[in-house]
Amino acid sequence: MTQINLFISSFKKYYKRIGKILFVMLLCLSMKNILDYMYVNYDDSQWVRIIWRAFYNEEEIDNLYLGSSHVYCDLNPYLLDELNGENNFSLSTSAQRLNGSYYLLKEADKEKELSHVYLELNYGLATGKDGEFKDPDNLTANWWNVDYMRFSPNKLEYMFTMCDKENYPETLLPFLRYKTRIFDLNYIKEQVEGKQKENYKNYEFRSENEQGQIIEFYEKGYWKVTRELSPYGLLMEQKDGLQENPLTQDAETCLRKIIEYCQEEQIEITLFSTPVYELDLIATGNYDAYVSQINEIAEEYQIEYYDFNLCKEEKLPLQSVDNFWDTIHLNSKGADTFTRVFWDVVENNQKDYFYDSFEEKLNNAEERVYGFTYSKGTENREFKIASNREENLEYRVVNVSEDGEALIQDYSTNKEFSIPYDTSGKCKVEVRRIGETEAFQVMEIMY
Amino acid sequence: MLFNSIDFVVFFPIVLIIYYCIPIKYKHLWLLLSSYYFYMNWNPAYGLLLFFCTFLTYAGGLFIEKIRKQENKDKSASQAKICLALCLCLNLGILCYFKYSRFLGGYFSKLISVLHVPVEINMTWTESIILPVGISFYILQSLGYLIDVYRKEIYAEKNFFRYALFVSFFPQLVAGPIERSKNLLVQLAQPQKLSWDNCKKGLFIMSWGFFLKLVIADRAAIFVDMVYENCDRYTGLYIVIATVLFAFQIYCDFYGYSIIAKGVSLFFGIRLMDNFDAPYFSKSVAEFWRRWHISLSGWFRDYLYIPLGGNRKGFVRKQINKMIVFAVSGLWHGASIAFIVWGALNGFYQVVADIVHRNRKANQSAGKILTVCKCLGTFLLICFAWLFFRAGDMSDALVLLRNMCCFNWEILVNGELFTLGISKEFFTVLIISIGILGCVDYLKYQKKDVVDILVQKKWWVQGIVIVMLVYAILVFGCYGVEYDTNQFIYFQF
Repeated sequence: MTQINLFISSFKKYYKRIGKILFVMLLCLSMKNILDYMYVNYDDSQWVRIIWRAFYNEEEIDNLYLGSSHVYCDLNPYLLDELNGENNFSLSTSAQRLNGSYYLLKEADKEKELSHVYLELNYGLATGKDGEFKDPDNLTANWWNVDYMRFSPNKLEYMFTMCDKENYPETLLPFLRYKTRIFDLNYIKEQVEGKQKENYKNYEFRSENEQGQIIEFYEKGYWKVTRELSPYGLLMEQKDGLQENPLTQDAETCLRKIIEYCQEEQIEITLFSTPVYELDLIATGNYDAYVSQINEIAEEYQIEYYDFNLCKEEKLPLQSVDNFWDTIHLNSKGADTFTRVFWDVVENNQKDYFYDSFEEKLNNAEERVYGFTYSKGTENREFKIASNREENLEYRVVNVSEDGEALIQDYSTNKEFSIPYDTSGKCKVEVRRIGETEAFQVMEIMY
Repeated sequence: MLFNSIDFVVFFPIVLIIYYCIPIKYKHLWLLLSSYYFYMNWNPAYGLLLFFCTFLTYAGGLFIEKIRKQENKDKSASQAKICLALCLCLNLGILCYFKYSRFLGGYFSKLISVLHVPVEINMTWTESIILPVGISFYILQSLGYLIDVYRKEIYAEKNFFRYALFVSFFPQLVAGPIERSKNLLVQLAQPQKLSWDNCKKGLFIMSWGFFLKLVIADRAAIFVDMVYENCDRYTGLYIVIATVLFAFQIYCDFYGYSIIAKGVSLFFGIRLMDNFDAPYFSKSVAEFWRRWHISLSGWFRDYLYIPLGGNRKGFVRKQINKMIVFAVSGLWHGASIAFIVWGALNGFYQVVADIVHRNRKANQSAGKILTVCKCLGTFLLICFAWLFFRAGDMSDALVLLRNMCCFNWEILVNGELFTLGISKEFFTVLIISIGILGCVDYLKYQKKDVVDILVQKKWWVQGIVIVMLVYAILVFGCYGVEYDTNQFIYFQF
């Protein structure tokens, strides 16, 4: 009897202690949630919040599209549903790098019966310097994903591999990312009010500017954007130039992991790159280096890779400002065109729609100026006219400012000129073929 | 490995869980392994040095005890003395080599060039010597053990692994407290069972330690570093404020480390000594040194001041002994003239106080205002000495002293004060935190320990306090990529 009493009293003691520990944990969690509510920016991650909720609510997914903003802007899953009669879902999030895609794929495979994965490969998120995946400046996209993923071993692995250990606190506790605003009462008020709005509570987002152009989020992973590329977007900084095998080691490792995971789990996988405004690719210096490395990897695993930047213009007529809302994202008009061609290509393996290289595509396209690239000089910005011909074209450049028009150069084959740093305005470039008198293209570029 | 690092957040629970899962006879071995892992995280090679010093003092202790058992008392006493002297010389030699080679090498080179001695001596090799973390602490701790054995105050430890754990016990290995064998070695021999109360208390103490380090010390460091590292650019109040902040920075940094060590040890059922006892409430410099870095002051008192004669050989000799102890203490802190000046200044304060008090009857019933004035006066004297300590270099210290004599009160109102890396809001948080520290220390001065008071409260009150403390650290603490994780200041000693 005494032993039973002893057992009961010690059981009660431990029971109470566990209760106390749970109380402290609950208190910690409540504090975290209160601080998150006060500090986490409601606007920044709205899209990710909507897409993860939609993903978990989706009953089944046949075709999963993974990738960055290019996917949710360029591919319309609702149109794909109509085209293929299957359930298409785009689990695409802003600046999604390949390490993120890997864990999102595993999450999707855990939750749904996938039959096909389409993985977008944008050069901007897969090239650069090694270690960029864990660079604190690049963590935001991954942070948003783990903020809205359900708790699982996969989420834990994602959290602890996405960053260096110095960033674990911010990864685990989102409010810590806003430490610089800890005393900003206006900011806190803005966040609390924002989170109480009906559209936020209902997981809706729609914005409309004065010109009636809209951005609207759709749950299956689509942004309907009706804006058009502005003249400011036609000026791009010249990049360092892609070297041979430009994929970072991290990117290549993750890409291989994704492919191998799909092959092990018997999920079909197709790689693709979405079309961008070609000025962006010209500014890379050597886009073909990227294409050939991805092609090599795709061949090694015997999977398909379609780079729609190499697609013939007659098959995919997108290279005009009314199809883009910035140089790397299509608007809804461009997205509708692209989605139809995309499905035609992947369904029928339309290899003949493509050139072998980007250089070949530029040479075969109609003569054209895309905009300007610039590099930073000591006193001036060094501008260069980006066209798809090195010869046969002449350019007349006029600087238009508040003071009136000033001729920078009359018709000449020269493509380079300088503009001082502290000036802004507009350049008008007129293009004609050598031997002709009339310009066949006139373009205005803001700087 | 730093206490304020993610590595430690992983390391500590693993060590703790395994410690309580393994049989008693392996517990000290496990702690020893963990301690060496903890230490060798900085530089694996220094693990060998730690081992060598441990082995030397272990063997020395056994040998002294063995000699002592000989029948010929006179012979054995002299042999034991030789053995002790040998061990002391070897250990202090190692310490001097790592700590003072560069300092002495520099002065030696200067001396040769001043005297125009036509001999070329290359002392550049001294510049490549890196000071092993915590060497000053573990060498003093092991020498303390050896002297205790020599004085027959304790028996020599037979179990090498237990002794090695005494020297390398990870919570206090790199920055103290410098434990006495009578306290720590005995506890290591009797492993405790997991205790709910110890863990609870340990958690409170650790959290308070992290609060001191991350919220006060590392925040104050931003301002202090800015002023002291650009000493020719800042004048007047900037230097005064930076020096006062440094007084709190070094206190919170070192006290923070000491109580984190204390809290961590409590999880293992081991009670480390208190290293600080509300020092800034001291009414005299002598009292300050009884309350500041108690383990070091005690070590110097027992193993240097008393052997020198202490206060037994007359007034003048007592003052000389004090000056020697404080100059050595300064030198222990760093190989620089500025540290010696800092130590000597503290000794000088006490000599002057002794001379003044010698001719005056002690005032037993000092009024409150006088008490506050005494505390304030002591604090200012200590701050003045800290200026030399923080400057670390005599020429910088002199520049600071010269620049301090400039009145720029306007910085208190025109906002310029907040352009040195701490915003107005964080400055306010810093001042409030120092205020909280003041309240806690005042209670301690009144012999009331806040942690003891807290553990008497209702369990839910304790829960709320601990959660608030943790979140205060998370929100207001300096850590992560935007701050260079600050090492504890005393690691460099």
